[in-house]
Amino acid sequence: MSEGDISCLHRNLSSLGLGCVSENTDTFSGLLDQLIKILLEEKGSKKFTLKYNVAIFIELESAALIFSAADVELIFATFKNVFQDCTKENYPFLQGQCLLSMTSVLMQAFEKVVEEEITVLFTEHVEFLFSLIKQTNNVNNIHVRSIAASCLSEIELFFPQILKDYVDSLYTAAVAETSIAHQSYMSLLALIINHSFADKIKASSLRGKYLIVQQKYSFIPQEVDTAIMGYPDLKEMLSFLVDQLPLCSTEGASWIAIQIIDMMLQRPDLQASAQVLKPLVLHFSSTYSPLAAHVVFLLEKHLGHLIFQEKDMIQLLQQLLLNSSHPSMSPPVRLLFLDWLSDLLIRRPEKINNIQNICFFFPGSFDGPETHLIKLKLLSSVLKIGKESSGVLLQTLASLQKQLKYKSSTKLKSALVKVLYRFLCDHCTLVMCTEVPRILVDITMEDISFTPYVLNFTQCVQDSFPKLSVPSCILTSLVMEFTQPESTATLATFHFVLDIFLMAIMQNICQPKVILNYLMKYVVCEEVCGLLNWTVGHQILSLCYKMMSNYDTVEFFYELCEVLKMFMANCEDVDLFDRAHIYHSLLVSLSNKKLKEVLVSPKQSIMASENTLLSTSSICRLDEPILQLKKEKRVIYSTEQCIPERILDVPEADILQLHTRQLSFVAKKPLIIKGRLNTTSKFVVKLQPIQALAIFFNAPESWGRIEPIMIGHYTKKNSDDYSELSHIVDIECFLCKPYPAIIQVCAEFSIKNVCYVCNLEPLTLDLPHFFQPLPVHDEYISASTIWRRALFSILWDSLEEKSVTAENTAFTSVCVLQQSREGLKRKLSEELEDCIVEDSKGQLLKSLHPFVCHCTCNNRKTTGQMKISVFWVVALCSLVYVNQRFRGHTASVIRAF
Amino acid sequence: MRLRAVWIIAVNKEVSLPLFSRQFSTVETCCKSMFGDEYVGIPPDESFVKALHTEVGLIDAGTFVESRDRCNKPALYPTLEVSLKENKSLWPVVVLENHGLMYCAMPLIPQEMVTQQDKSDISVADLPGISMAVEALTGLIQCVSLTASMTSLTPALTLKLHQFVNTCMPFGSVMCSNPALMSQLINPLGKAKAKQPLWNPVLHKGKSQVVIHVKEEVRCMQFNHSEVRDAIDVYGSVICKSEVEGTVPEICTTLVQPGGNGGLTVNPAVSSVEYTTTTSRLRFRPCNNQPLCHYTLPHLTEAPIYGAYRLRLNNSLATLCMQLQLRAGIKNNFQQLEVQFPFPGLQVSIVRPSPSVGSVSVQSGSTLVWNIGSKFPTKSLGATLNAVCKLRRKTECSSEQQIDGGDVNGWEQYINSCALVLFKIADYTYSGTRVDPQSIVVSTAPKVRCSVTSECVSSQFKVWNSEGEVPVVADMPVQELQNLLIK
Repeated sequence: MSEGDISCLHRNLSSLGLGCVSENTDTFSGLLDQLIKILLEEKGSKKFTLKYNVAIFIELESAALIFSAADVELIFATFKNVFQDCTKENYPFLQGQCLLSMTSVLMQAFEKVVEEEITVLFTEHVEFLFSLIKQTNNVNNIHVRSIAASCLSEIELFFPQILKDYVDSLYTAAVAETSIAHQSYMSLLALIINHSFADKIKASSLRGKYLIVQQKYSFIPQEVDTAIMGYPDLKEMLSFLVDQLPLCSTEGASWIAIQIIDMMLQRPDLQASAQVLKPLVLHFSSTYSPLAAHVVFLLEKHLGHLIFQEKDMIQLLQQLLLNSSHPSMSPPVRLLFLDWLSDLLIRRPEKINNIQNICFFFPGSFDGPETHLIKLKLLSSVLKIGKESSGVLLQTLASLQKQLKYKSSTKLKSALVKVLYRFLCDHCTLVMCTEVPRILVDITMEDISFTPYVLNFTQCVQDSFPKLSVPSCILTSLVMEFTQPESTATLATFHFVLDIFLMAIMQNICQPKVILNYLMKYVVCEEVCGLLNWTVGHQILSLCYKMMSNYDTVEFFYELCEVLKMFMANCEDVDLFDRAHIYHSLLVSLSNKKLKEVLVSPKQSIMASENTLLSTSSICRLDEPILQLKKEKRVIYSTEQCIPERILDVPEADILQLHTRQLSFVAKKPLIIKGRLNTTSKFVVKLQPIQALAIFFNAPESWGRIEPIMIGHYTKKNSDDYSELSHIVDIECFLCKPYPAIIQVCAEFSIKNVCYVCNLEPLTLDLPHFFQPLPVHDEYISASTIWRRALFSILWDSLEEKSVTAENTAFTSVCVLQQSREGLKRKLSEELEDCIVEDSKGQLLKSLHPFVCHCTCNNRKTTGQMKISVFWVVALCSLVYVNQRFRGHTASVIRAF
Repeated sequence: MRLRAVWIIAVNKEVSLPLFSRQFSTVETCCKSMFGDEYVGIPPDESFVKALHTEVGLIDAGTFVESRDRCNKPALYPTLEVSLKENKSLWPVVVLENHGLMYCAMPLIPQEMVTQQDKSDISVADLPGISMAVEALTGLIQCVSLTASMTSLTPALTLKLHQFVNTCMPFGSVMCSNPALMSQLINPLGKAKAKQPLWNPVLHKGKSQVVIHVKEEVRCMQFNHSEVRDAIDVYGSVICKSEVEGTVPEICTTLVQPGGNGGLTVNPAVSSVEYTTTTSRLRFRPCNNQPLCHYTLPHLTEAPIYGAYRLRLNNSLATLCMQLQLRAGIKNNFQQLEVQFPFPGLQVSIVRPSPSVGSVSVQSGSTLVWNIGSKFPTKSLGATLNAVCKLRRKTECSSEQQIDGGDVNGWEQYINSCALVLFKIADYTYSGTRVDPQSIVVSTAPKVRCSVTSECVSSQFKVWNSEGEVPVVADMPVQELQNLLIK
């Protein structure tokens, strides 16, 4: 589960008043146990709400809570229990919720556990739901039966055609049922009949996915034959469904009606009975309800030729016109009706003549940008291409233009370019091609923040209609306007102008000389250049670069040289100066041909990453890391092992002195932790080769520092071969205070000349990572074991001595670690093998630099007799998991220390 | 025709989590199976809220965002295509706004529609799931009353919403969207001879009662401009609350509209409407909590209150003059009558107010409010306010707003402003629309206690400064379009 999912789970818990449950549990299985416990607690009205909330939570988070078939069975057994208890006390609310949660858990289980394991449960559940449905007219469980039918509908939607043999009994139940549960029965009936008409089960459906559901259920026929044979009383069933619609809610009636329309489309022979739906047309013809009106609309669209007369058609049109402009309707509902109207008029253009008030087509004073856009889009699609149509369309834009003039808003700007694009797509006439650029240029001149919209428009038109001259018209006009002395651009908005220049240069549609003269005169001059910010400075230089790479520099050699020279003379930023200097040197020292070779070919050129400087953010930040750095297991890499052990006499008196001297030397050496660099699931093969990879560590200053890791080239042949990319790296730590810390890690690298930055998962360093074997003096390197044993006993004695002195510089305490002797021994061997000095029977002698430890073990539990500094306690705790409180307490002592 | 998820989200970019969110896990599993590799999962709540805030323009309000503003993005309103990370997007997300909150739903629709690269040819007319989502959200809006100031919900409110979802839209299938029926659906009527309709789950015991309320609204744009015509809309809704006997009761009532009826659109509960020139007789089943019908009267072109607003600016000194005139024959008894002069982004301080009636104050620092009282002077039926104000820019105006707002150095831009007239009149409708209590008949009850009330309120009643520019155009090419369509 992702972090977002986990936080959502906790939010769901607290929003349902179950926050206390999450406090007591760390794991999902623990959470499930807690929830089950609540459900099984004693009955009573007070517990009712709590149980109801738990049932809702299980329904919401079923995917997170199930891990095995046993979990599903446990949840099912619990809910059955609650369900039966409720029967006695009559809590339909909770009973219904139990059914919903059970069904939800079961459906999720197909995704999470082996399907065979839930076969029996699935069969039982379906039969249980049907047994409820068959209790027609039972006054005690109306709501529960409604919900049971909904659950079966969900199962049928999950596994189409699974319930088709139940049609007859369901039909009988639906006819007999007099309570409000009949709506759910009818919905289920309509759904099953509709599904039974489908030719075959779609492979993409879940039924197709799960063989077990497809083949092994006794109640599912192997051959799809009902569709061919048909239900003998099918027409009777349809008539029944249609007759009962007035008793349903609008939503229920619409849902069933849509199923029936679908049936008629699949089975043309049923269309002979289409007239049974006519009452629906009459009933819903003047409604404002989107769903009811949609049924009428779909009837017209699919079965109109069978049931719609001319007057019905006109009524539908009038109603769509009314609803799409009715001030009482909310804008989204009006837009919905407007879309249907558009669909109708495009399908039946002759119906436009029935619209009496054509003012409807024009946006009104109260209409917002979205309505403007949709109305003008509609008008564009109903008018035939021609000069006059284009004229009318352009006039209708006046309202949007006026509003934009009055109030500069993103929505209005976006709506205007979208409308213009649509006009150009639908009516690509000479008038349109002349007027659209004029309108866009005029607005940009008045409001320069419109530039990105115009440039996007230019790009989209260029992509869709490469032969149209509109983009070049727009860019030429804009460049001409903005290179005038009286240009409206200011320092704050000059980046928009540069965007225009850059696009014009990239599309080779203007003379660089004009731009360069303008830059020379008004931008890179002494008064202005110093005021330009870093980004704008780079934008100017990117522009120069593009001129050099796209054009013959002979034409504007002098001007470009002047611009670069002035830029160098007047800019105050070293970075900008350097870049300008490089360009200037290239320009004056290379021939035009050589210049192109250097600048254009990305493989050979150091300037290849220029493209990235076109956008304002030249570095791309990845939100999800594609790399990960994990600590490797502790490896014994001492060179001492290569030296054969000899027996040397170690003079005990000198040991402590030699050791103290050596400590100062050892402290200066870095601690090396092995790390494994790998890719994450976000990595894709095309994201390589990764070059110039640098990994930086951000450690607290008081803790120490970690040297950055630099890797020149990092690649992978195919996505399946993970070993290819797994690199072992040395993490060199220079420690000041080696306390446990979480180190932030970030990586910078380059892929195909684009620079990327991303944060990697933080590196967690605990105390055991810092332990090293006791250092051995160089003279005794060949007798390391003897040296360490001797040093250990001396250090230990020294600590004992200190612990009894008045200063009490070493602490003495006893604690019981909740760990078996074998467990502790194994753990210590695994984690700190190289630090063990001696492991004798019944006694573990541990020696760790710079701390020592002495553990005595009894038979069952480890009683640590530890005359050691507190650091080691924490390290040991982190290994053997003593309770949290103890760890917390010790950690706080460490911080104080 | 199922929902994948519903959310309630504040229209406030500072609130990063939804007030309520509900995903239907079984629908999601189906969706995953249907879509295969092209499946786009619903992102965590925080990411969805951020993406939606960007899509509706709350985040990056003043800047061009390609995924939102590019000119070839298909306009499929009222659905939004919400852009997510890694070039993925969620579509269709249906959004309804109510009282400063966004109610959102995402229906499950056929794969071929969602994965179609060029969505410009798609029509939402082929997707009834979207209409169903609109109905579900309308129900959600009515289920609990929430306000824009809320940043989170209490467990009780959350529980109520979950109950509504589980009862009325189990597994995302909307079976009923009227929250007023929720408790009755759980404890409905027992055995009956005839089939009990779902819209009347419990038989009413006691006297039958019908309460009808007509709420009329007037929205207006007055320009006082020789070339631009004023715009006015008079429209309203009829709400009927009924508690009547019978299994399948039917109510009849007559809506009287003296100026002629028109623009009537009704609840699906209305089974028939009979029209005469000035009346509409509606026959309907109970539909509590939902409007019985909406009407609009386009023939009314005169505003009930005529306003003239003049604002002059001398740098930061604003001189304003507002004249209001009540039309003769309009009920001169207001529950609320005030005029607001908003100056967005500015601090206003009054130097010299001189209203002919009422009082003047400053609200929220940037709005001048003229409270006229409960009526216009009886003789003149008019009121005037002359005031001089000192305007000051708010210091925290961000650079983003500055760019979006154009040239902020000049005060000229503030000349293009309007005043808002707010009024409310009880037991009155401007159009004369009323329901005759005598006309109310219930098929299953011989005697019915009837009550009819009405009110008339202003909605977007704007009077534009006659000295500034107006945001509308004089004329649209009506004749030219007519000719083209005839051709």
